[in-house]
Amino acid sequence: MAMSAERVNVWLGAGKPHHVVRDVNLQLAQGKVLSIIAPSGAGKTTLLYFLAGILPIESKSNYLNFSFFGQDYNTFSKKERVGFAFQRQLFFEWSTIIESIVQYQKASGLAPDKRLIKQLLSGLGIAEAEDFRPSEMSGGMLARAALARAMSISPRLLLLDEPFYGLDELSRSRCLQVIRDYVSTSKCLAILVSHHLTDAAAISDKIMVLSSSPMTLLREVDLTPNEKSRSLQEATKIAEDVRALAVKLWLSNDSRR
Amino acid sequence: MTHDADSTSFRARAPAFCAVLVLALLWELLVRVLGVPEYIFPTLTRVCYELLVSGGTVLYHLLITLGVACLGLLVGTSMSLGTALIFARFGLIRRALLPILIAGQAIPVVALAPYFLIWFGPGLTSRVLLICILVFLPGLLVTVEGLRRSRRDAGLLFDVIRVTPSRRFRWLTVPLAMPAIASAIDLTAALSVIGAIVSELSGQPNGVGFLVIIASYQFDTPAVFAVLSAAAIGSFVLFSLVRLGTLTLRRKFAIYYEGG
Repeated sequence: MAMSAERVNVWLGAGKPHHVVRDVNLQLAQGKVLSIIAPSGAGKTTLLYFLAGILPIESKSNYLNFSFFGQDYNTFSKKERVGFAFQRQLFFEWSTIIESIVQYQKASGLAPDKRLIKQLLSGLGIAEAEDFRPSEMSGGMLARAALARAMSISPRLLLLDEPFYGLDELSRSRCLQVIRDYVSTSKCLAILVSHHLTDAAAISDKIMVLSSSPMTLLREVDLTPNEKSRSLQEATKIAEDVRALAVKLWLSNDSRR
Repeated sequence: MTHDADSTSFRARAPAFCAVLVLALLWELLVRVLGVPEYIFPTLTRVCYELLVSGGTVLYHLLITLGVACLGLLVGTSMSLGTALIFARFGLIRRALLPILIAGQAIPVVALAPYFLIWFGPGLTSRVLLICILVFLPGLLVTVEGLRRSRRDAGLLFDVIRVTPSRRFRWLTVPLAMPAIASAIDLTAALSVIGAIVSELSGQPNGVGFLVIIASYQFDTPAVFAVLSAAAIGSFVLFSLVRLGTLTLRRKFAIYYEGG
């Protein structure tokens, strides 16, 4: 497995820490997409922050046998560039989208690659946005620009935290296709957090259903391997099954507490 | 930003114009009705007459004061921005020096003004230094605060790509602090004119402060008022010009957030 971690625990907050993630095991192979499904506020973003190596200083975490391409957690969080599409997209008004992504590549220690950026932007359907400033763009365009920025640094790990905020159905399926193709061809690892089960079903190889407070793994659903994104029909079918399963698991987990 | 565009329109400025008009009327009427003698509190028309008669002289000294203020503003602000950048980059230096600077600020600059004249002689050096001392710390504190308050979620974007500290500083910390730097410049612009006048009050051979001293020795209250009114208008114009620049800075270095 390219990435694995066992019994991940995370506590947040100084003083009286709040147990957010409990004993989560995680394994992911190259070229695969994993989706994380959990109730709102469960701690999905916190888990992603742990996996990106950017937990706040006042947090606490422990884990067993963390490995990312053979690196331990310390080396990983110092050396490995992670592509991260954040829930809130941050852009600076002082540069155009392409300038801002070029600078991001430079900040990552890479040579600027405008061709790759243009290719990503047009793949995501916002080729015209390269010379725009953020104030001239809609939320959906910014969401896609943030996706392009995350992929522009050719990461080995791509973390997507609700990346389709403000996107319509059609643009979403287009973006899902781009992500799926990107992961399959670049052989990176991707983890998607989304409330849209159909999105998760369209591109995932595995879906993890987790509970809230603290967030624990309830069930792993392995899907049939796929290189391309699934058709809407197929994805809807899978999403319905997973939704039924997740609701059942969450309800029984609630009643047990 | 429609908000800024509005503030330049006549509609947005009408309340200020009206308020000035009402205050001017009140001044004139009250002084006349109460029969206050001219050397205690002159009427507005008397002050205007004074300005008209000695307008040339006042303007000459006012321009000197504003010029010195601009120079002091430039030097003082550069000093506080430079120091703030060093402080933000090297926490150890900040922790060592900031308390001393804050303690030093407790000394009233007015009390030091005569000594500046003795140490550096009447001339540009003593004036500009006095302004620097006056504006340095407020400018420094506002800028340091802005540089340190780099937002956590903005930082995360750079944390995930393991950016080096110097790139992070150049491409994130400094641009994010620009709005605070704009505030620091606004603040020091207002202070610099005061600094210039204070230095002149303590015996410089020209400038608004010099005129005030001369007029007050002769109990020429209308002249004092005329000079001070001119100084207020001049400093307002200077502040407005600076403000135009800082508004552009604020607009250029805006940040955009979208989503959850």
